[in-house]
Amino acid sequence: MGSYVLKRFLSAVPTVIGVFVVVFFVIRMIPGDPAVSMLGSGATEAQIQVYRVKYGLDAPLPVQFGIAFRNFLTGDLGDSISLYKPVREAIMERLPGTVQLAGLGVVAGGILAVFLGVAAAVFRGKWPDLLLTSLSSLGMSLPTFYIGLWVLMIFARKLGVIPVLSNARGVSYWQSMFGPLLTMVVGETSLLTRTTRSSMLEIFNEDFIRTARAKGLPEKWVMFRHALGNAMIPIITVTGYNLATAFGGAIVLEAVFTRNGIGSLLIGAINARDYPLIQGAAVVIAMLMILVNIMTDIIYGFADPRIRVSGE
Amino acid sequence: MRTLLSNKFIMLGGAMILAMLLIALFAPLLTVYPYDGLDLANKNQAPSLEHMMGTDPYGRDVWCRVVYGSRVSLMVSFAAVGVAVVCGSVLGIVSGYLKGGFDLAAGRLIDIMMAFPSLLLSMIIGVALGPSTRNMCLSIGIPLIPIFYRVARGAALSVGERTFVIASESMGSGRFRTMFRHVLPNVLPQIFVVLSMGMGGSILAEASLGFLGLGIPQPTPSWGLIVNEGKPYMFTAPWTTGFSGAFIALTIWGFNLLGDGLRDHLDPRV
Repeated sequence: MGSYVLKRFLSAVPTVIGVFVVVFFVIRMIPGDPAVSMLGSGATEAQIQVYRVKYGLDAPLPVQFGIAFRNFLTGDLGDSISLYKPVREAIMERLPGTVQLAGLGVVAGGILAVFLGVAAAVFRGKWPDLLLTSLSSLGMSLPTFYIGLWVLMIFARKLGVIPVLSNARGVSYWQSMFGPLLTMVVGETSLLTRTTRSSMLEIFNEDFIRTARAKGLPEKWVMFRHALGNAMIPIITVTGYNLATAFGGAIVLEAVFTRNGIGSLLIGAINARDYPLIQGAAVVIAMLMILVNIMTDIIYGFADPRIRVSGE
Repeated sequence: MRTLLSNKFIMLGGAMILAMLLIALFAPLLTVYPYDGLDLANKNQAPSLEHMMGTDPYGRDVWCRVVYGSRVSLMVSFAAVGVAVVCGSVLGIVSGYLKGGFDLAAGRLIDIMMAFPSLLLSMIIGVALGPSTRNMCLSIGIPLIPIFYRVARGAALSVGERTFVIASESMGSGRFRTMFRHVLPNVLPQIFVVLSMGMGGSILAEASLGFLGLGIPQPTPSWGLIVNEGKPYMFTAPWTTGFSGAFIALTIWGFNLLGDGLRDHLDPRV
């Protein structure tokens, strides 16, 4: 197991480096001079020059890349131009909010989806199944921002139980968490419910399910122990996928609910043309996704020893 | 063909998309107001007989904006998926057929692209290229390349081992000819499934970027822009964002249903 985990981590190293290279050069293609846009049109040529030297914007691109990459390896992501603090500090302040939201959303959505998926599979072809399958198909098609706006409309405007702006003063943790969490759960549950259903239905045809029933085991035991246990691999895949996409989804969610997180940090950085901050936030979000994918692979190894053996 | 039409997902999804395409095509016949006619005296009016979906914060007819917006949004999505399907399939087929060094290098590149949430990749490409309709197609299309690459590569790997491909090689046809005359046609069905899903993804990406204020620039009415313009008035005049969002959701649903149907049709086991 140890060598499998190690191998999986090592194979991600080139990807992380590639991500950094891609982000660095894409960001440098942004039209317009960051020094000019930061200082405003009233700045003198001398002021602009001082600014360029201060933030290393005067060096040739390969040199800028060399410096940035060396700093990246030591964990230094440069200084934010618009927030007047190190990029790492800005990201570390915002990251916990996003990670908590993504984690809670995936756990809550996951538990709900597995129950709904098992129910749909058990009632295959009857009304609970048809209802759940059509709802999940619709749920997968609703854009996150659209679900979020309706959640705001209902819970903030009509019922008044959650705030319109999550980052306002005097808002409790769960009040600020409820809206984004509900939005996430609606979107994620849809895909996972479908996956659980089809995975369960496939397992129902297996011989060992027939054997378990023939032995006279209680149906609940057959469902949750024998069928669900073996239907786990696709469920893990989709849960991992949901967690990975949650970091991208956070960009939209945090915009809808005006929540502080890495997504809203990124949007702010884009609007301010803050090169180092855009670069840092984008690289960190991509690294989170890579990490989640590695974790998913490792969990596969636990869930199904055959994968672990072939991976080694 | 008959079995294709008997699949209810294909029929329902296809009908929804067809309706949307007809709306886009016959936009001038379906609307009575200009999509860019400012009428500030009548801003944020609730739906009425004159304006069936109300008016937006600039007094323009929402139905009219949504109808003309469908032209832009569908066109951008088709172009974006076009970029992705061409790049992804060609790269995937060549990778799956040639294997070896090319496959390894392309695989690495795709790994890097897949490390980004697609919305994030769209955002940074969009910001780097600058706001325009053409750049929007690229920034939505590029993050979709991996899904076509993976499907095409997988299919090419298995098709490449089949007898007719080996026969074609043994008769002396070149790699290029083998790939595009023999491998490509056999990979197409799988690509069609992903194509439909990719269209849904593109529409979603355009709308999400528009919502974030990073979409197609003014004054072109795209669905994303309409949503964004209505957003500040969501509580007092929810119809602008409400109706445009509903159109976005229905279109994505249509493409998803079609994709599901095509997949079931190709692989009836599931």
